[in-house]
Amino acid sequence: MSSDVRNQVVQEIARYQPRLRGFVRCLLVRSSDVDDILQEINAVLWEKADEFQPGTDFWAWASQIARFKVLNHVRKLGRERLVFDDEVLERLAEIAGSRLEQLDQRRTALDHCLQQLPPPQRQLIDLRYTSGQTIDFIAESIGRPAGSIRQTLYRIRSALQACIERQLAAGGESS
Amino acid sequence: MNHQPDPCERTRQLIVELIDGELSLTEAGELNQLLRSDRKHAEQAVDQLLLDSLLAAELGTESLTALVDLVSEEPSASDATQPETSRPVAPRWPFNSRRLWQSLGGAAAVAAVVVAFVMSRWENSALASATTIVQAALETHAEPVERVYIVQTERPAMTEPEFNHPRDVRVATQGDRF
Repeated sequence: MSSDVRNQVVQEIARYQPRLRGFVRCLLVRSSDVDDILQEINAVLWEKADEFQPGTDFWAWASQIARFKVLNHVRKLGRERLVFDDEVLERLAEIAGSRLEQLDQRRTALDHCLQQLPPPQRQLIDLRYTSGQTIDFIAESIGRPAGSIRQTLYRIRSALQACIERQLAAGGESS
Repeated sequence: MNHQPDPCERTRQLIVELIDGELSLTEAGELNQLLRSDRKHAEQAVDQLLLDSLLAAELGTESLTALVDLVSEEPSASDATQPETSRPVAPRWPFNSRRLWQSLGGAAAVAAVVVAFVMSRWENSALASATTIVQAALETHAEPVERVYIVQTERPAMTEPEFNHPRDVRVATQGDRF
């Protein structure tokens, strides 16, 4: 394989990381497993780089490999515990693929919507996602029940989701 | 009186539990049935999970094993608005940082890349292409050694202004993980 093709594959792997991550997450993979699976997907993409035809749809190729990897992961878990069946995962993969076509717009909308959050809500989101704190830790730190934190986070995420949809419907214009 | 929960609401609750890592075995089975029974439940699940993924990607931590310290010579305007002490140091997988994967995306435009491998007690520096870096990383990650990569990039004069991002990137790996 020529170095030009290798360079192209490296660029594409890097460019599609957020989309691959979102895809894996949407297939009900636990957040703690997403990184491991993503690493495996990246390694396979690199190993199979010589199968990639320059000028063809990288995402179509990469998402097939990602889907295969996730299904394998779930099947392995299936030996240990009840998890989601292939039919459900195929349905989720199809929906995720469609949603992820708008990933950049969604990300832009999310940035806008995060700025609209009242400071206390933004702080809670930051604690959860920026600092990576568990709900129990947050609850203990601010002296509120874990259930209350969970509910508040749920409401904030719902509000963000609604805001993103409004942004997308409005074509990304700030409102 | 027996109240059956609304399936949409129940799906939403179960996905929240999945996101929070609290979904039980029984609930996983229930969620599977709900997702199978109606496509709109599956769409709802994807929307919730995608938002969670975006929040993790935009705001910080996706992996506790990931550790990347971005050292920017020219902080962005938004960075400058925050006091240094209040800025969270979030462990990140390198491709998750928008700034970093933009820089990787523009790898072909990078004129020279210097990689310093600091492995255990020795240090070595080398000039390499982006391709070589990835290849070397894949090979060396097979070894259970902790290491730190310092990647310095130099842009050619013709680089577009939006590629004005960190020039020094530190990537710490543990075992075979970033």
